[in-house]
Amino acid sequence: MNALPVALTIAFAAGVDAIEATTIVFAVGLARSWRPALLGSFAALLVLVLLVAVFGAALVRFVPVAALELAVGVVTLLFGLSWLRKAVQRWAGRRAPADQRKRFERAVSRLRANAGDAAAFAAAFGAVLLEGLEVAIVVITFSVSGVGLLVGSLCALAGILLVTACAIVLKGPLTRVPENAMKFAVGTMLTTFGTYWTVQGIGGGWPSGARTIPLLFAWYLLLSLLGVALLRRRPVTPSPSHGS
Amino acid sequence: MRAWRFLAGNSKVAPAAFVIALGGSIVLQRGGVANAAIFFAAVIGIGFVASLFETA
Repeated sequence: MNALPVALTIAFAAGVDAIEATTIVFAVGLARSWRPALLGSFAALLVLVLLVAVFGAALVRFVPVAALELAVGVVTLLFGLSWLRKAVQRWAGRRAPADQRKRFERAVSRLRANAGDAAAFAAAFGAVLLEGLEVAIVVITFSVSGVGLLVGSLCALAGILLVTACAIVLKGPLTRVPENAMKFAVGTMLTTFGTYWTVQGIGGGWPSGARTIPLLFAWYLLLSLLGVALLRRRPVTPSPSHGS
Repeated sequence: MRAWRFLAGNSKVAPAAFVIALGGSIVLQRGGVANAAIFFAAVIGIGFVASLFETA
């Protein structure tokens, strides 16, 4: 299988999650101080690196290949469907968009009300760990069936560094990044690979092997566009679920 | 349960479609049907579109 789409999916997924994490880290840094913001971020990154190293290595060493492919496929597919669903609903105007400015302002007012470096450290640590967990899962699942743990981790790091560099240049939260478009692209790719690996995991084969992957991508892209069109034509009813 | 929700989001339709697709594909494959993979992708796709209307 061509490693480039796998590497790009990891980098994009890491970038999307890094947008939300940098919003909170910047809020901590600007509202309190940069010391707890950076310490909290690095502590969370250390935990995530350990998680990837321990679980990734253990999975490869102890789990049979077929079971691993199935587990990786199932996790990737469910993740992908969840991301894609949110992105399509946002695109169709049926779900509130992720507003980094609002998230940033909420975090700043909470931090200003809650004095102390410990609270600031906890906020940065929690944000990076929570968003990073999704990245860690993507890195582990994609790495064990594609590019290897080291390359997978480096791809994720590249995505995170790119987003962080943009946030540093702009000196604030990334409010103008096309977050939903990125989520849409990553969701489609995760769903594609998840479908491919799940079928491989149950011992089934695809008619054209790995060459089916672009066709699967086109299938989910087509369905997503159809979903956007259908949702837009449907009358609006109040929805209880509007989250990230 | 929380881990499942973390993976599947708030959807009930998408995971249900996944279970049908997986179970159906395994049965078809054991029955010697060549295109069990196509069935899997089709059911997942249809389930995905249906899941869009759950909270919309």
